[in-house]
Amino acid sequence: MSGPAADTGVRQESDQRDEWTEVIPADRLAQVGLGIILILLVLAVFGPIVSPYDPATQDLSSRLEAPSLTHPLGTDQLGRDVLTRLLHGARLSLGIALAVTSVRLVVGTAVGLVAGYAGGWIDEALMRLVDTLLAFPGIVLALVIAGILGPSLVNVMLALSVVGWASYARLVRSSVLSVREREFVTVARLLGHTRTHVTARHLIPNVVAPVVVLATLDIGGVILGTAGLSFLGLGAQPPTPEWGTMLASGRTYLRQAWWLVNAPGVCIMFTVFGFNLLGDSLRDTLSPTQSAQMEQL
Amino acid sequence: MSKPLLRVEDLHTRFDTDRGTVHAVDGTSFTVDRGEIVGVLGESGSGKSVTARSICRLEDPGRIAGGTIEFEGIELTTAEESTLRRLRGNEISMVFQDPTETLNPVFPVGEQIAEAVRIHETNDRQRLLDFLGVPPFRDRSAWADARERAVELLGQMDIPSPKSRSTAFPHEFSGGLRQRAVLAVALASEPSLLIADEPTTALDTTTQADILRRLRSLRDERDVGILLITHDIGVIAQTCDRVIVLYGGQVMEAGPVERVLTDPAHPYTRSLLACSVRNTDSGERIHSAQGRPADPVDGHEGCPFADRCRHATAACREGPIPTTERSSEHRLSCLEAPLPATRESSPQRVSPTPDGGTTE
Repeated sequence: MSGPAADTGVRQESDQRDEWTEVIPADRLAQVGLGIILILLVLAVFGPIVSPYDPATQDLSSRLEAPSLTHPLGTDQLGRDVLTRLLHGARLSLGIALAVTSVRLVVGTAVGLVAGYAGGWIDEALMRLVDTLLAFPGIVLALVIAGILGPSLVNVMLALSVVGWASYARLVRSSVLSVREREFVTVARLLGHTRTHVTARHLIPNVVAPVVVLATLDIGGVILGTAGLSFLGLGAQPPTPEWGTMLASGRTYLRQAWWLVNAPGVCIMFTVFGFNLLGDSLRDTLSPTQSAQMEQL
Repeated sequence: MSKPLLRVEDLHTRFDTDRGTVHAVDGTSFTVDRGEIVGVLGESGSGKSVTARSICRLEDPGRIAGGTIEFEGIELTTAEESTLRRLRGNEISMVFQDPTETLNPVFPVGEQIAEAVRIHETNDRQRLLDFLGVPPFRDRSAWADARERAVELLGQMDIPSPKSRSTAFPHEFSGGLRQRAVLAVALASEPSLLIADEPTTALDTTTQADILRRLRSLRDERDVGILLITHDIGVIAQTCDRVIVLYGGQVMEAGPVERVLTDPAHPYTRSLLACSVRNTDSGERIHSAQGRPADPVDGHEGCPFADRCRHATAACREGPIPTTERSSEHRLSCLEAPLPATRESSPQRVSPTPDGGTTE
């Protein structure tokens, strides 16, 4: 590769990197949110490796032990170390949240792009479907779907994915409608681009910012949803160390062992809090004009 | 004379609306040759931009209801989408009024020019993954060459330090720089026809003069045919070889610039000229055209200008207006021509009444 062009490419990349590092630390709350998420990620990845206990092995001789040096967060009704289970649960919760959000994002964006760019009856049909989905409270619909499919973690993920993509489709469609009328899309066609090209290269980059924001805010919701469905017995089944399941089984011992309920509860709270903080500040920095629009979703 | 580069014949572009069919372009005919700048003059809503978009076949949501557009012997009104795509990428380029809107805000300027270069190079074999920059499918050296070409084009447009500017984003450019970058995008494909839709309306006069100078040098050096759309008579006078005066989607008068502007034969051209600041004596109030443009819904039976024309007769409102040739190059669509001498007929002698009508 020749000198000047390579130089151009490098400069470009460093420009983009600068922008990202400038965006996040500018906002205290975003730093806190990002910090929480990073800590969680580190814990989820390395925690289970470090921990000396197994999340499923029962030790009935040390049931419901209060937090101590050997068991920093105590043990549950079957003598399992709560901290170890929490760390394994973090893997599960974050994994599920990322997977479900990705599915929602991909499906929703695809539907929104098609509806917005194709228009006509395709748009009508897709948007009525979206309206139908949005008409139900998400968790109720997810309950029904998970109930029909039977209780398992995979089914909960499926149910949450089916329920959640509609708001992405809405958002992407409305962005596409405004972007596609802009002159540079006409210019792209004038340059001899095909429709697919125009969509992939000129539309998607222009609608991606609000979608990223929505996804970040959505992760917290998915974690809550998973925990909620598991709490109701539709999600992860014991002995899977899922936070919602832990909450459900610890509930019985609320009077004897407060740590059984508080530990997963606080974990859920902080995770959702972290993602919401990050999402909020991303919204403010990436798309100040669209804040109002996002708030409605 | 050889065949013209672009020949538009009796073009009709219509929009179906709730109020009826809008005849935006209503039987327009003209030609553009290589190495000449043809100006299209008219006020807002006279069908200038729709004509331009129809030539590129971007008339959507309108539709071409009749007529022919022939570009280098290819009939565009019936051409396949793939043919159109090839022509757009290689032969026909367009520059729009607002450079802020024409550049994609999320890509660096140089990247956008490079893209146009690559489309021109790859012609009909564009691979999506190459353009998306997916590593194994991206032709790195070709893109590097295209970027170099982009820098070169920016330099030709007299953009200072083109190399560092090529990695800047559109919002980091001033209006004049942006329009020059847009021009670079349009010229990346080395087109033989350039359609400029009010390219200088959003710019200050210095930049305007610079862009117009650039258009003239394109005509002279690269033998490009240019269709320059504007509502500014000054721009026409400075730049164009021939001028087409459009009103209500119809050609009112067409001919060489010096002929049409110094000795206008059509009452509409005269009223436009009377409004020009240059034709107003100092201390005199600048004239403005009386009345509003005709409603283009359902088309016109007679002359579209009849309602605002002080020479109009019953025949003007009824029958079709034949095109007469004043001289070999100078065409005219007016029943009342030849009119009395210019000063007498210009609307400056008509004093407006408070309700906006005219006393006659």
